[in-house]
Amino acid sequence: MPKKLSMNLAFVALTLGLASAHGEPPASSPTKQTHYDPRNFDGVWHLAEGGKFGPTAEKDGVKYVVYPFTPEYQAIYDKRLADAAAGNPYQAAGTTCLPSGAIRLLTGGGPPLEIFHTPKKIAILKENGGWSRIYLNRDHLPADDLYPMFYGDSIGHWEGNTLVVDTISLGGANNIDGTAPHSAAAHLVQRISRPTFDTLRVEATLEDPKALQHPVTATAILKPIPDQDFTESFCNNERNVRDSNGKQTVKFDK
Amino acid sequence: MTHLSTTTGIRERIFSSILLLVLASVAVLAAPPAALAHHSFAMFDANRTLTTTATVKEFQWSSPHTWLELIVLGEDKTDKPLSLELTTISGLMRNGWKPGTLKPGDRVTVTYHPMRDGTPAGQLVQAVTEDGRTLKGQ
Repeated sequence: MPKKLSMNLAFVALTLGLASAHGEPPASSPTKQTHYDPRNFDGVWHLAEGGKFGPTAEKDGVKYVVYPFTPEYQAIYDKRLADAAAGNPYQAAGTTCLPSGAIRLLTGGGPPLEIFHTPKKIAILKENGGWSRIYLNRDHLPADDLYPMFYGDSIGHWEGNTLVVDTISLGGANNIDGTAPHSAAAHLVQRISRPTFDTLRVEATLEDPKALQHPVTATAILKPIPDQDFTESFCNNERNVRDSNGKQTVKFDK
Repeated sequence: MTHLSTTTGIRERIFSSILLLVLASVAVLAAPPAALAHHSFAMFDANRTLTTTATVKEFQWSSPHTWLELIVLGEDKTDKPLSLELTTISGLMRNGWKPGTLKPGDRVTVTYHPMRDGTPAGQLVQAVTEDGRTLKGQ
């Protein structure tokens, strides 16, 4: 082995050894990589912190997020919270193996998601909820092409290293967080950036002039899951059921 | 006299038990089938935690959630079923589980939140295997 190469290898080994001895990951670790493309979000991610669109509270044993609802939508929310306290929580779309929707995709937690880039779109695969597509090459579809969707009509553009995603035509999932309602006028804007190799930051603003008295915001931090492939997740064994009286129970026979 | 009272009390308890059993059986037969699917954990009592040792009957590596079918020894010394719900497949994998982590016949000590209505099911908190591994269920 040439002497120079040998010395370089020794230096690298020493550097890695010192870093490990101090409890620091080696420079090649996903948590310490410094050279990366901040406009590339490829990879498997999960919610690590944040993501709520308001302060939390608890009533009758039910934890919930406080929203500035209009009276009409506050009444809907109150009913759902009371039902949850009675043991019969609201059945959001996600609870029946349908997608949980755009508002919860990046900020709602749960199973991981994977992001893919193509020249014309960025696609986000939710492990248990299908695909969301962010179109980079067009404006929103004409109004007569829109219909209530789980992930809505999403378009994106770059502002520096921040991807700004604008989503309308929500209504398939019809909830903000699994319980809180929104109307068909909901409009979601997300500013997504990758400030470090292992951090995806999402700043989301939700406005809904029919349901909310003013827009609400959430900040979510996502972290990579570098060593895990996606698993198949198709509902083949749903045993959390409600009986015809609306009571939660368990299905015992397969 | 004391003996007579005791005997009467036993008879009353036996009669009450039989009556309850009959009523419960009628209720089960008359109960409507489960309808709408829902992933909620509202049926589990998160404020109660039980621990028992059981034998694995089946490990259901499935979606949306995984399930552990167990056999436990009841107070009457007969085998009783116990169904415990775990998290998603990907959630379990992050906790170190694999599809074959538990096999029929394995003995495990399980800690779980039981059903509010007393039916033999619950939400698994953790399982400890015979070789001492502790695996989180959520």
